Amino acid sequence: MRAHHSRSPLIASFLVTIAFTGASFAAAAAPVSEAVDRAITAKAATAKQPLAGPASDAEFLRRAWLDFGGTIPTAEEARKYFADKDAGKRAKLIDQLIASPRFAERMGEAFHIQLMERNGNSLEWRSYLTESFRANKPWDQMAREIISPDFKDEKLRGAGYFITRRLEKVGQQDTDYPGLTRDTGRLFMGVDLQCCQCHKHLTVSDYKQADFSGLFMAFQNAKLQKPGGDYRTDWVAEGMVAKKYEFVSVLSSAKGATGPRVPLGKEVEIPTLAKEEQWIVPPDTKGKKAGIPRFSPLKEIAERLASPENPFFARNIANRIWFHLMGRGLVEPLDLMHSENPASHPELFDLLAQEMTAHKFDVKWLLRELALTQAYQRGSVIPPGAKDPPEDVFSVAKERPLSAEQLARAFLVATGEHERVAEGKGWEGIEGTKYSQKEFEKAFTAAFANEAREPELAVNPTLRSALFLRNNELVLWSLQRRTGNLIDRVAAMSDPAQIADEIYTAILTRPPTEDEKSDVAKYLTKHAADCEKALGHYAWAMLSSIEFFANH
Amino acid sequence: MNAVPNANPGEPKEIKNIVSDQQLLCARFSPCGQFLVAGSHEGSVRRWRVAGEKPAAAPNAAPAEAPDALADLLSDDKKKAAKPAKAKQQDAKAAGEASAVEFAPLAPLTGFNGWVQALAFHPSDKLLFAADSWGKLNCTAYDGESPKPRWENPAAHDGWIRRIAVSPDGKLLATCGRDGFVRVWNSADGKPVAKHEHGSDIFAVVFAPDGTQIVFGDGLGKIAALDFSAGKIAREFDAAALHKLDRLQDIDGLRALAFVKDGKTLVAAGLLPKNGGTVQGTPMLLYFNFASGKLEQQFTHGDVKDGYIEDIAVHPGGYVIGVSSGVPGNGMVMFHRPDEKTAFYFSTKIANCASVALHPDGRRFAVAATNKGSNGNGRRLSADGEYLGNNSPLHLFEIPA
Amino acid sequence: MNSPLCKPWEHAFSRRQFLGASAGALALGAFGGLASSRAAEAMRKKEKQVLFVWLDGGISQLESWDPKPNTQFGGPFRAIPTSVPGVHFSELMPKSAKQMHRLCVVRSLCTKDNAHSSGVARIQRGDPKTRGVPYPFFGSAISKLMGPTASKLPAYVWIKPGSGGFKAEDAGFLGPKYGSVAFGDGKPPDDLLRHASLTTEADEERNELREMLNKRYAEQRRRNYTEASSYVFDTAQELMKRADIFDTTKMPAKELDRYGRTEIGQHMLVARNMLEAGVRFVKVNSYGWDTHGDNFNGHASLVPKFDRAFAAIVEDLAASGLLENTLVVAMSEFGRTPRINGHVGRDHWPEAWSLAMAGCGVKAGAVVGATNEKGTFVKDEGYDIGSVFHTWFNALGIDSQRVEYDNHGQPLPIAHDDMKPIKEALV
Repeated sequence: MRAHHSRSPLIASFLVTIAFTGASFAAAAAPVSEAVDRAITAKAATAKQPLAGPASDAEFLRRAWLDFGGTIPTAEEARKYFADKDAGKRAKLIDQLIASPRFAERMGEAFHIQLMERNGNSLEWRSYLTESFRANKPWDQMAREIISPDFKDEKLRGAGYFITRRLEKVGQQDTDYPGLTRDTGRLFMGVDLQCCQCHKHLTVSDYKQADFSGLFMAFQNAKLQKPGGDYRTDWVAEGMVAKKYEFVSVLSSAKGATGPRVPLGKEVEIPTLAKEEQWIVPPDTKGKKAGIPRFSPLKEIAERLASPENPFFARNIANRIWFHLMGRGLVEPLDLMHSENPASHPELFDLLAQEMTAHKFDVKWLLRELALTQAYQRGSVIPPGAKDPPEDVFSVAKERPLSAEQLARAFLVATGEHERVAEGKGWEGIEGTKYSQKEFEKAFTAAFANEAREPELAVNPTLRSALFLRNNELVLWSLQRRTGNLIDRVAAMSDPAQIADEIYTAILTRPPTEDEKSDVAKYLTKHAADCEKALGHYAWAMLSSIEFFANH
Repeated sequence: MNAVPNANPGEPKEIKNIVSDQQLLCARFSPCGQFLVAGSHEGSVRRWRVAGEKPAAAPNAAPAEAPDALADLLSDDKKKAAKPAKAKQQDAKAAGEASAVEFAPLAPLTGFNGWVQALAFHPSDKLLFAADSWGKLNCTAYDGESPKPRWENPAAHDGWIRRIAVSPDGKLLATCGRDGFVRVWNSADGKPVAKHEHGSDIFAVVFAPDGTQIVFGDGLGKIAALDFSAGKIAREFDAAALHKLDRLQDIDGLRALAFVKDGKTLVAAGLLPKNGGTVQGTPMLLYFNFASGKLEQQFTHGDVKDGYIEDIAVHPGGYVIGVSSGVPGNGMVMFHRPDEKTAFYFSTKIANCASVALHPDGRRFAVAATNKGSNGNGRRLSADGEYLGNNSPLHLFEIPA
Repeated sequence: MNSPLCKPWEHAFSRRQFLGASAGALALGAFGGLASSRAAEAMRKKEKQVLFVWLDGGISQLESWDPKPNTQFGGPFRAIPTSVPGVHFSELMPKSAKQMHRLCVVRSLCTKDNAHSSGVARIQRGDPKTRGVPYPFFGSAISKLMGPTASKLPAYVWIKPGSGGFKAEDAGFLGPKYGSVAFGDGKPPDDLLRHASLTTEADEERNELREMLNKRYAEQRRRNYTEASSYVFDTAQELMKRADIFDTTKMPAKELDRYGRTEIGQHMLVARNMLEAGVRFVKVNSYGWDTHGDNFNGHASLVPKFDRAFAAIVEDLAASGLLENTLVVAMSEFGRTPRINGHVGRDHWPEAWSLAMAGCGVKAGAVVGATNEKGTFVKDEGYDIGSVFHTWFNALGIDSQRVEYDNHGQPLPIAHDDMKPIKEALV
């Protein structure tokens, strides 16, 4: 029933790639960043799409800060960068940002949003992610720790949240094993096996029912447990698996059976164990305590899934990191990789996957390599002569969404309330409510974050966010004059040019154009009587604009 | 009223189960003790002759004779003494079992529409007053084979008449219902005597012991005593506990009113509401001092799944017998003496009770309940594929001395 | 994608339909997710609207649209004549009885699900054949198929007791953009009212500044983000301007009395204002109709309140001329059993129940189908909710058997493949 031939082109191409690029890698002359730019430039030429010029200093500064630091620089920090004459300051900036403690927090947050998709949050989980990035833990190790968690280890049990959260019961619905199966395939391998639960996939011939079932059975074999004893968090206990899992296609009525299996990979053989051998710790039926079986399907799958031998693993992480910095994957959608959905730049994609493998899944390494490319440092202004450049050519930088958390932090930095709200400094003599970082993040998340399980992939203005920006108390509070904040600083200035420079640099991280300076001057003349309020409104308009709202 | 031996009864025992093919709403024994009647869902009043009984004193006899007749009934030895001809037939069956009685069904009283929920007997004449949910009120001599109404008013109320009360001297009737009116009638000919527009659905009405006032209660927590000749409200009783507005629904907790403690205390029976939709709440009795209007006791029993006390009977021994419907769960039979903190007897053995009828002998009562398994979503068809309705078995209990 | 996986035992799949064998199956493509740009354009031109009243829990058809007085299961209430000779409603609905000449009552609904938790969603989704994706509720479907009206107000507004905000669940596979803006307890979502510190002039000026900045920014960049942003800020502005629509404290006492000073009365009045202001689809929810216990007193309390509000809005829509282009629906997830249980209640009964409609495209003064004498089962042809969805779409001018959704390349019918519109209900 299951033909293997549909699989082999994929594997074959992978092996071929190894053969060729293995050779070129041994030569090791050209860094990956240059290979990226060659590929992008080549395709743009074929597609007759002019390349956008490099991003301005300002555009690059803001972009890098948001991507690697999770926030925007203050006006002071921005001016310092603009004044720096060093030709290599871009690379220097990247390295500085990566070396900063903010980097680990930023990556932890980004991966949290990507892996949990707004379905829950836990301190242990967040701390696990942040610490993993701080230690630059290899991604394959992280993946194994998430798919087959060690719930007893203090440092690792947070990783189990990916599974335990998804297995929590919602009302009277069945435990969502299918959802967990699907998400694992999507997020760790880039394959969405949703439609394979009941039959083979109808549009993607590579995905078969056995691919879903082999992963599903491992999850279904795990039961959610409440904390107790050695376990400080929710955890899962695996049962004993002695035989294959049987499935039937509702369309063809064809039957099948599979042991645990990495999707699109080989089946794991289920060992036949003597009765005494089956459990490491036998279950205690009287005390209703789960046991620990010797054969752990989750462990077997984790080891095989998160490994160099699984071509989808490297491709998925390469694709997602590319997406992170470029706004669009080399394969789109991010979770639909298969032989009939090729990458926009197939050879480049192969190279990235292979290099990622060779670098032992070092996320920081790939991020840095990509940050050094011209592609990443390209401007978002469409070059003259280009009309509607297709996104998969990457000839123009794509505007990318900011997460609600990035927006909250950027907002506070821009309005100059960051120290007060985030660090608790400077409240003396201030009247009224003392807001906290938590409150800001909560309000911004409520206004800007997607619904649970809706991946945040693109800039997405919503009615809720528009109302929030227009009327919310916290937004308007930040724009009132208060010692040391933005409005305070500019209200004390008298030169409109200086004012314009301050608000543009603080909010949009760039100096104003001459036109913009004169606009500000005109506006201030008009509102000479109530200039504090007027400044607040002008700042508001900038903070609500797409230029602030998007990462460009 | 003479003291009756059953002031401190033992646990009641079910002695008979009368099967019925319909759902029944209000069950009552006649004052002579020979008849049991019950209003049905299908526009009729069902009747049973309580055979094996010595008839009580003839109509219009001096009240003083009645207790003797009762004492006669209670004594087994006297059972075989001079009896009316009808009762003699039943001797053979009655022999051997002191408390065995037969309930021979008689032809139902028809001519009603919708539900007959309101029934009341004349205290001495053999007359039954009945009313239905379309607004008809009539008076029938209840002991004939196929009796016709003596008088009838098809539009006594606009719609559902919920209760009928009879004045202690039997001369007047009071009715209440969904049209928001209480009305007083001449019991002999059905002519209207007085009316009072309250304005919202009225659930219970009862005559005050002195016969000059009627007490009524609505579904919104208001109970009032009306001097009906003067047309004035004499007193109000705060029964807000019997009402709750849950979202869109005004939950009407009141089901019955009666007097206890020799007429000094007014008792309101029903529900302490918790939520609407499928109404849930705790069975509740509110005892008010009638003269002052003050609430003396708010008594609840059971929990929110025990539901409404649908009907009560006041036992001559000074306690209240209440029956409840249970939501979900079984119905409940409960005995409570005013001022006590707990019910001194209760049982949840029978399913969903709708009404309780106390026999004038004070030793027996009948509970109109529901068949088991009466609820359920979706289909439940008989073997022939017919859609089955529910019915109300009547459970007859004996209260031991 | 927010889609739970289908359960194998539920899965019923029509290969033929998927392969696009039906004649009208149109090209997949990016016509706003509709498999035809022409269809989309045609729909947007006519400003049709919908009022959808949802009585959650199951209103008893025997105590409302289809009374059976004086029968075994008929209960205590009488039936009263309506403005259409020969048609009777329960005495609990005197005002709606006077509107019967405008209504179309379907008494022959026969559906499959007798549980609330699954039934509510199934009914509101039209219970199409399972495709492994959650179908949108009717409101989200219309929001997608017809979009907002020229008023720029949100296309799908939900007026309900309890919490408000932006409710994405209704939208199913269409995505949160087609969810509803919910007014909890008739109150607007957070941040809707202009902040006290702002004057109208200041608010407008700063908004104009924002637009100007966006325009400049987008001069040399892709336009879609600034366009989307303008759109939502405009919608926000429209909503903010129209606080009068939903602020019941500012509504005339006479109107509040006419609709009834009850939860459903006030919400129905807000709904009328929303429709008049141009909201495409307004859903009004009322909860608490699941009368397993004390059904008769319960309905005696609930139905008249609904009756008053419903009759008032039908009257008002007719008077303003809106009824002609507004489809009105009032229904629950199922009816109630003829059999009366031991707690004087009625249980769930999807076998034979009723709904009421009025307005755009439906026959006025009509009764579709009938139940038998006792009200236990439908007499002739019973209609499932799929047929009802076909009927509604067609009433609004949408060809329900040709138009399809495009779910990322998967064409999906908008209503159950095997069912058809109810001809007797349509004009």
